[in-house]
Amino acid sequence: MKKLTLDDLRKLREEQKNSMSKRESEGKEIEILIGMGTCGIAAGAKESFSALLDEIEKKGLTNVTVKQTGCMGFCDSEPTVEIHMPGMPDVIYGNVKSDVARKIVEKHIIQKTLLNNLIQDKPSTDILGKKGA
Amino acid sequence: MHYSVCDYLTDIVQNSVEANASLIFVDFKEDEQFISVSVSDNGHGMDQEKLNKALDPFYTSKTGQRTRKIGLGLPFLKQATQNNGGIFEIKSDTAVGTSVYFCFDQKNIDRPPIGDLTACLLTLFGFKASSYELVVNRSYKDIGYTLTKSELEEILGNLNSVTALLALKKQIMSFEQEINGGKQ
Repeated sequence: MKKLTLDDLRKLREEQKNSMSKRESEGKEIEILIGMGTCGIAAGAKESFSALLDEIEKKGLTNVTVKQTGCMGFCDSEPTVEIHMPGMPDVIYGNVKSDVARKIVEKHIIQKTLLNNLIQDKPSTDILGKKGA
Repeated sequence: MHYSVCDYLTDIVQNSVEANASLIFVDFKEDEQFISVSVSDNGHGMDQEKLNKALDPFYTSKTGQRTRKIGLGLPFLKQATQNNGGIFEIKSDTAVGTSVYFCFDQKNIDRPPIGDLTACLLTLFGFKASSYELVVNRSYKDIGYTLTKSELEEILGNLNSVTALLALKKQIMSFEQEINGGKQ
């Protein structure tokens, strides 16, 4: 069997390290959590995830982590995206289709402006207790 | 509900992560006749009674991150393989873990699409959970690749960082292009 190797990945990482060491000192990390429960997947969370990554790459942001979580209880507003970043309140956005995901990067992260009409209330108490694992 | 093979795969691997597995093996094989996927873990497993119930719609252990689980993942997967004339098998033991195998007949009209395998694989390596080792073997006939979470972490660092995800995405896309080149 022809086994494809990770050599290209190693090379890419070396190149990234060289160009990134300046940028990483620019400010604390931004954390994005994307709901990837069954409801999220059914509503297109994977496409939103791809759009988020793509837009973050286009804008050249490097101090960002993206994690997948389970359902937060907003099944009727999936896909949901939660953002924690210095200088902005912690927010959960709902109905985050791919185009909205891109707007979040542009407006919330870069322009530090809330997208008010998409903010969800906090999760219900049974989930709030278990959240943050 | 779930639409593509990748959706089913994400769902089953999430089950493994939530069963506190420290080791998960995924084997994704494709040829002109079949798409076959197996997911094996060393999580807490199920006794025979729970295993029987697991295939019942709306039964769920409701633990872990997905506190609003519905309990339809396995029943829908089993139904999808039945509609397609494929195969579905699940084995579990509380001393060992759980193993799920499913296979779709490519020539049957009810074969679900594969879906976006690149996005799926990125998701599998990035769950916000306690640490787990994940090994994914992906092959199309006699060409394939293996992704191992610990090896990727060694090369890329934290797999949740966007820079790592983007690098991994490029690598997987290049693998898939090579495989798709071989499909013609």
